[in-house]
Amino acid sequence: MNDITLTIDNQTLTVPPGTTILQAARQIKKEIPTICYHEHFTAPSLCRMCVVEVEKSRVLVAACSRECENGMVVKTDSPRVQQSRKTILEMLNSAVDLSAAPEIQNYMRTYGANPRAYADGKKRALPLHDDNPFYLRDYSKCILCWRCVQACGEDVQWTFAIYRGGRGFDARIATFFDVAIPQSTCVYCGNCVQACPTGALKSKREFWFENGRDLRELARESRIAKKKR
Amino acid sequence: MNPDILSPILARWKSAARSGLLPAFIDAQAEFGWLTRETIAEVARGLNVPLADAYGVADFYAHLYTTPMGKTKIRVCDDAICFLAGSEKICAALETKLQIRVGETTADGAISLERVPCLGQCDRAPVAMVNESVFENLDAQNISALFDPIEAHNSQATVGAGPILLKNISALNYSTLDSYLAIDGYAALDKALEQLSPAQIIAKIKASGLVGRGGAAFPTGIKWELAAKSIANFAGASVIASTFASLSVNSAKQSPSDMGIASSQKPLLAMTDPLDWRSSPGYVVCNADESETGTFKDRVLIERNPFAVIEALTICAYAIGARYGYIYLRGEYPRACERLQNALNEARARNFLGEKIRGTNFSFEIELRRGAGAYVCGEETALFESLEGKRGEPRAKPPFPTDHGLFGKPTVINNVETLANIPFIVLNGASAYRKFGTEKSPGTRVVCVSGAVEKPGVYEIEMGAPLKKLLFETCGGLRANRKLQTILIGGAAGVFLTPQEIDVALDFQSLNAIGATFGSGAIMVFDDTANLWGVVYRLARFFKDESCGKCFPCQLGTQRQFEVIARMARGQARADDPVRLRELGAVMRDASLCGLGQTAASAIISAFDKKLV
Repeated sequence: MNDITLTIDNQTLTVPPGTTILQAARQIKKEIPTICYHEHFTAPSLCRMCVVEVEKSRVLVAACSRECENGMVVKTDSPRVQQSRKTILEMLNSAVDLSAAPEIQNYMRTYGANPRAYADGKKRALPLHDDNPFYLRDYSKCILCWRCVQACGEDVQWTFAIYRGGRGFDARIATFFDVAIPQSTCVYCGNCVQACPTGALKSKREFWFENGRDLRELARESRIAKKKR
Repeated sequence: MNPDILSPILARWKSAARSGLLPAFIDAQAEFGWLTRETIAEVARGLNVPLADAYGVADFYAHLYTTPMGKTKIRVCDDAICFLAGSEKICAALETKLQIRVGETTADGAISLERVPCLGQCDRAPVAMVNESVFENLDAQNISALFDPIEAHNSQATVGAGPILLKNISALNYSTLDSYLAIDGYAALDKALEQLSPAQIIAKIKASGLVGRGGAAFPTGIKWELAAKSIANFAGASVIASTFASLSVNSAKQSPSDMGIASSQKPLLAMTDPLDWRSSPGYVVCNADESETGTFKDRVLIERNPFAVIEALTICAYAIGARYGYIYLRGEYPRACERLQNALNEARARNFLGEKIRGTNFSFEIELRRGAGAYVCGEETALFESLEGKRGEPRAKPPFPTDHGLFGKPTVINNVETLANIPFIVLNGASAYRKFGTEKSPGTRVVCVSGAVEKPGVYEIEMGAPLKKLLFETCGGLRANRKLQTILIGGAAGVFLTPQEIDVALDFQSLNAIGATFGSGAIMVFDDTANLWGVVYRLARFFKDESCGKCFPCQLGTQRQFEVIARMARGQARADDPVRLRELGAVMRDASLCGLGQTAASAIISAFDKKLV
């Protein structure tokens, strides 16, 4: 197959077939913002942060998954693109706790997103799950990027302990009937924790360090707790 | 849970592997009333699906319940047309009678009451379903009718005669093969198999100018041609792939749903078993998941003439080189389901389906599947996901279904009405078809008119017919000589029209010119007494409830849109609410992954643009 020639932000470039718009843009040092996209995972194209304007396309297209085509004319930062990104960020910020997601907060500044937009809208304030010795699940910080599900399933680990539950605004990451992690098929590989971009999944050790706890003190506490039991 | 009940269900769906998940759940729920943890686990094990996945699938569909529900489920429609016909009073009367609130189950655990989106019976609103029975023209004063099985199905839709699709509908004994044969049924298939090559059939469809009737208006002939090409390529590639798979002992990554193939030591020849869903090089799918608010024409087409769709699918399979097909029927259509199932059985028994159809070398099988309460599954890729036993979450396109469709293979997916046109075109030719309609919009259109007209129902009109004539002649004008307030054309994803706009001709180009769309063929008529805020509120609620939750713009946007509309409907609008609505509408239209999100603001924004609210 022949190489593909396209135009991105008025620059013409040639890429091998199968190159996505996101990869092509990187070649000419144009950084397109992404949230759900992870280099090693199947692009789920769901956060829509990476949308760009493609000439003759009715709607914006996701740069992370759309492959370049000959003669494509792409605008990565048009006003329409910027407006979409800004509103996505405002909606996300109004629904989810982004305090542990510095990258998304940076995007908020870049796109001038109003942190108080939709401030009284429904929130996904979900309880923190502290049900296993290795990691915490704070789903009020979960943006539903699916990375943990991909890491647990077909993209990395093939364990299938978690999947998506619910739908619409109330979609969520769930184990089988929301059982605690020790009752699930989880093997504690940690891949989901590493893939999480917003701190919704966090190793307990990291959580304790962040909260100024001393490991030796924690160990002592846990020994005392064990004796009491 | 009694395993003796579950084992025949699992036996029935085992060969479908993961793709049997939804039907197995539906069957199990029919036995138990809802899906317990044990039931889901048992089904998951039986079909080789991870537990978390199985739960996530059950949790996705509105008609699958993972918490206790009564075996009797009463579903009251509360969308636009039923709302204006008094659905709230029906709900209130039922709440009083059953001593529960909507969303609850009676103390004895027997009866559950739900408020649901459009049930596709809008010409006889208000409507409710009790399990598999439909009750139309409900009266809040006489709610006990709902508990009398004889009262169900008491009326038929008004169906006007039309030139192609509704031509013989009054002559038909509805659904027997003999009645279909008596009106030249299957003459098109015989002609196709005896006289036409696949390429000639595709050429005919292309020349007819037929475009998809599901809403997107994609040229049907081009869709078939693309799929036929990919199947030709794919078939070559799959022979190579299966050869390699049989050579390597530790074959690479196999998904759980493929394990059946990986573990069985079938000789290569078995891969061409014509009636095995796995071995078909591509698929034909009939999208009968009609769930667009105010739309019921596909239901009527199937109920009255189920064989037309079956014949069309068979012709399509022959034309593109597929050997297996699916009809994905909306879960809320029990009568259509029964008639389709009977029709499939009859066609199979008389060799219009199955191996070596009509004595030729062409073999083809169709499987009927039912949805389980998810509007988004009308989106073609979400429908594939659902057929594959997954949550109805749309895929990013491209790749398009003609390349990468059901089970990753080239697939043609067509709407019921689109398919129903096929036998006529194959039998009579493209020029006979083009005698109907306009040059750019050939053929006819089946519309479903509901709301404030004298004769709501299903009508087949020639493309280009004036909307005004449809309303004031065919449908007998407005009831009680009321004044027209507005029309919602195209369903929830459509556009409101003002009384000044009803001179528009009903064809794709004329509607496009005024910023409207034919959509699903729904035409909902509202008179000057209609509470339009109530309608707009329900539109917003509908999209919030039906968003799959995959892409951010729709998952978050439909929720925020609902919140803003709910506030405005209560008369508590804030200064910046109109601006917010536009922003939400823009991001959903521009950035959503699929058509649901892209059109979730369309009708609402048009209501504001035209100062209807």
